[in-house]
Amino acid sequence: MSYSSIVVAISDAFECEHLQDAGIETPDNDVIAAEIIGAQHRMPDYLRAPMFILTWLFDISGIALTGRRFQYLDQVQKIRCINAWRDSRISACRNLVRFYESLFLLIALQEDIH
Amino acid sequence: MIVSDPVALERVEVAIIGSGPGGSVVAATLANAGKSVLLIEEGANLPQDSCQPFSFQEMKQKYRAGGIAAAVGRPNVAYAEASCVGGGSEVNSGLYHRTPDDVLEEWVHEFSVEDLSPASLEPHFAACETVMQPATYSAALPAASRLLREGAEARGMESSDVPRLVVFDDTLDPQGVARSARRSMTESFIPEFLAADGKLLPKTRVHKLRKQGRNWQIQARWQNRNVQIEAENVFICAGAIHSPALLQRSGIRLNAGRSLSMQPMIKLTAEFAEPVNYPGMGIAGEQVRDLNSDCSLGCAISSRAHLAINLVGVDAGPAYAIKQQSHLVSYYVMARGCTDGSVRALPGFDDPLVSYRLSGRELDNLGSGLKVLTGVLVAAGASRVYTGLHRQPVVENPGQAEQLPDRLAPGTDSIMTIHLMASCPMGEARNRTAVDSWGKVHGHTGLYLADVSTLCSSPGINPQGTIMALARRNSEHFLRV
Repeated sequence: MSYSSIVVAISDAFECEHLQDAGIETPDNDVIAAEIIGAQHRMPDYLRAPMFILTWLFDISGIALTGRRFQYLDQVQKIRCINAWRDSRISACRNLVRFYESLFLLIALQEDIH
Repeated sequence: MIVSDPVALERVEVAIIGSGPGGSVVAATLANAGKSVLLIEEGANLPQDSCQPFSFQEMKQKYRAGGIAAAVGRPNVAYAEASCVGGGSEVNSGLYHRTPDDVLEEWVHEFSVEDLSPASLEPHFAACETVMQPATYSAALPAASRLLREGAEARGMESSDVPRLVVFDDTLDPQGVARSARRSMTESFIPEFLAADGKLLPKTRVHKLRKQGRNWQIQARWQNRNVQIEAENVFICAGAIHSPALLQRSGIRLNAGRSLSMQPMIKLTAEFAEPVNYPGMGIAGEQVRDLNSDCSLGCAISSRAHLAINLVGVDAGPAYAIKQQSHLVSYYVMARGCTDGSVRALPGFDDPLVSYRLSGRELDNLGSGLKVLTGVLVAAGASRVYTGLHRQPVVENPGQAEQLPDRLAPGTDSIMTIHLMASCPMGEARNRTAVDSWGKVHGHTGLYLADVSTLCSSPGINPQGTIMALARRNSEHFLRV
């Protein structure tokens, strides 16, 4: 029920969608989610509150699509929810998915070249 | 010296707020002239190698708001600003240009800027270049550059290896190209400033300025404590967003933040049969100028993570980007922006509200620039170009490139910028400028601006060279009067 469990669920969905067959090691999704939440706290304050509210709305929107909140869905249903927001006519919905997807990939795929 | 306790500071002759290319050049110039100078920076003082360039760690350490911010509009435009000692020079690709002559002419004509011409700026560019030593590749070009050049030449366009503010070393990368590291402010003007007895105060956020008698009182926050610093003169060099916001919070509103320009960008990814990329490859300096669309076309960061993000929307795109990283390179289209934005300090909020309305001209230019760049890359032998547009048309031949839209849709989500500017333009045209021709805030003694906010409009190029030359010009004027 916590906010972080929504972000972990979003990270799980992106891992399943993008990295399952990539054959690389990535940080644990709890770690990625903590980094994403940290990034949200650093955002400008006029964007921060809408971001938190939209994330809660995204979680609840799962009920309309599948009868359950996003964080309790299986991976296939989670990706269905994400796709619905990704293709939404409302730019705020598309931007929310873009935000999480970009940050997830940026954190998960960091390279240590040293 | 690095100041460890600002409470102990006595009054200084000059306080400079912000240590990016503008603030650092002013600081070094004035300290070298014997002034007692305090350079205040909100971010931390970090070495170049504190993190991997262009990584999430770098965003956390060296960017304001963790590198995640957006100008509100349709569409919202993502932007990023640095927040560390050295400012933008610590995180950018270091492309170096002098201001084009026609841009200077436009500023003189439209904003009545005094004594501004290629000839009057020449000694300032030359002095900054002596310190920064912009350089091009001496021998082999990176594959990403070479291919962009070949494609441009095949289409009858000119392409050039733009000088960069980097230091080349003796080692070669896997493509046989000399490796390089940024020559940023912390590697150039900041050490010069410190050697001239300048004082640097990092991790200190200035909230407000107040005139007290002949001096300015700087109200700031340092290590969870409020501190006040007195200065006879203040130079605000906090960038296009935070310079006007600080003026507004200080009750100075004349044309501060009423205009804002940016250089909007969009990225695409090209796939080649030959290997063109490797882990740790930086950004190459090649740039093509497309005169029809008023756009620059160039090479963007092509790390595994950035390529994966670019290929979201393609079936199994991120996994493909990981597998094919060595064959993929990211490029950008950067348009010369209009001046349709604003910055507003909001009561009760720390961060100002930034809004920007992309004009039809910008959408036209980005659309036609994207089309031209796609054609250039196909001509260079790209087997596929992933355009990054909604529903990701993938282009595989010149005919498909020609079918791309001439104008980007207003709802395009992937537009971003790293160049924000012109929020407090300079000049004598009082109805549209915030500072005079030399950066002095209209109607306020001892208060100056010397950063990207004082440009009159977008110059259509990477602005660091312009910022440094103007900062030096204005510092010398300050010393003369």
